[in-house]
Amino acid sequence: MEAPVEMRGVVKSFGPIRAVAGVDLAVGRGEIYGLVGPSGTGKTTLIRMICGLLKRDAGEVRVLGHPIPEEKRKVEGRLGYMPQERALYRDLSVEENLLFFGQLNGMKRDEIQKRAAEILDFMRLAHLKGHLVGNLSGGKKQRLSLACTLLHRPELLVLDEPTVELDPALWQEFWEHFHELKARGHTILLTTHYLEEAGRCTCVGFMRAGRIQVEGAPAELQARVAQVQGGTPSMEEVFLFFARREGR
Amino acid sequence: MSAARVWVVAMRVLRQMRHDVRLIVIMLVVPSLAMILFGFSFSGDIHGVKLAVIDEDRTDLTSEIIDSLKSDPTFQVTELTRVQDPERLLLSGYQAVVRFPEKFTSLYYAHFAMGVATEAHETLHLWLDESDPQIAAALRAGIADALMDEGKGGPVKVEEHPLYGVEVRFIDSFAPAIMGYVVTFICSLLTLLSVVREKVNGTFERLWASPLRRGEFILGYVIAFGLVALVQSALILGIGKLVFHLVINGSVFWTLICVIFFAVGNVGLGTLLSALAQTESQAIFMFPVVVFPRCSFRRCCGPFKPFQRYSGPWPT
Repeated sequence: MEAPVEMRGVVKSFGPIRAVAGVDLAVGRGEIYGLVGPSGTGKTTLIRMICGLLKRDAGEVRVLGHPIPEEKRKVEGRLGYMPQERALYRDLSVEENLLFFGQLNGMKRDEIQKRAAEILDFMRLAHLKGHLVGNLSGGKKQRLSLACTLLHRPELLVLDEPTVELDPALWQEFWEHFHELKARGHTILLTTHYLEEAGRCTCVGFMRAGRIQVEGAPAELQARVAQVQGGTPSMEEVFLFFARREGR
Repeated sequence: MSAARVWVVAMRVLRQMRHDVRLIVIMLVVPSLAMILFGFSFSGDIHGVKLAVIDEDRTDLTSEIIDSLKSDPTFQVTELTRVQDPERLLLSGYQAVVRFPEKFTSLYYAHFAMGVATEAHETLHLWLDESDPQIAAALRAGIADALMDEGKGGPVKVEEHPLYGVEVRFIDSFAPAIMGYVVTFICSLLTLLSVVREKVNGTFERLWASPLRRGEFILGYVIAFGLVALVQSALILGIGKLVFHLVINGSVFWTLICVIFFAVGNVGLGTLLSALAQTESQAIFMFPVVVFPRCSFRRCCGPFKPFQRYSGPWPT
């Protein structure tokens, strides 16, 4: 079975700026892959190419077995994308936003209502379902944005900075939910600049200057660093180790 | 108040603009375009009014008057060789028809010889469309000038046969333009701002990653704002008809249908312009592009000047 996301030699430039400079990436089924790195290292550009929103300059992108963006239509509906901006309609209610995005993904009204009740309960937004999104706090909008992405139960979740602005308790619950989704066979590709999140992924790719500098399971990367430095390095120490090794 | 802080704020605003090249271009192009369009539309006299002349008398006197009419740039004169129904001529695109009846000349000279007014036979007949008061006034003035040029103004009576707009008031000619403006403003501006807001809020990102097609998105907007336009059009037309008793020649239903089509067209225009604007401020600056041409072209519901007053290079 093909990997849900495969990239080979992918390059993308914006004028003179090379945002992605030759990325090879393979995300296996049921994996939680974390693209980790500071802002401006090409994480969002990479994700937008996977969703077919940007065309690569060179290389190959395959999502769920289809070349992207050439066969983007075959993948839509099986993919859930959560952009960095919350991407919600501020002048619609919580429930209306879910209804709209659910219907766009081909769900029936009854199915949406059932699923929305379930997901709003999980996101602790059930009591706000009639409220206008414009009146919600940043964290609540973030939760709703994820709810809209999860609504149609996509096989592949592509999440750009999904845990920004979440309180610690909800952050913990989000990660538990990600692992629950993983256990059900969903694949998650997410970006983050929180290094503590890297340790919760099944595979991590550290990005720098448009390239994946190093990748592997968190425990494996920690072991490699421990061989050199000794002790039990944190993910922050692991990141700094590889960043320094590359001459930063 | 600190002058330094005021200056800092002003500089910050200007710096923000400097980074938005598109906004700078729009800010420079829109006023220039507005000035050019208004300049052309408010300068110059009415010209090129289509006038049909039926000469049943065919004498030197009528030829001289017709030549005088032809030399007046107000008119685009077509001399008809055979007698035709003036009302039918007006319906076919002429804005006025002048008819010299038989014995026009002989009775004209008889007037001088006998010093007796014989009005019934020295009358020049003028059929005109009075629904546009500016063009109707230009027609009257132009014909009076042609008669006076030849020194024949005194004994000739011009008998008018208005086909449309017999009791046209100012509001009757002005209100349709205002209706057009209301529909334009609401439909184009709302669509333009709504679509641009999708870009600004990032919802476009989520939409294009879903199965939604761009054509479906645009059609959805057209339907939604088309329905809004339908309600607005009915309101505007209803108020015009019931409160201001506007004169509508023909069917009110078909007038409503025309207004709806106009509104839907404006929704399309708003969508088209939204492709050029990336931010809400760019969208607002772009809006005069929609409005200014309509101020200038009366046939596009501009209320200020008739199309025939154009001195610009565009064909009429």
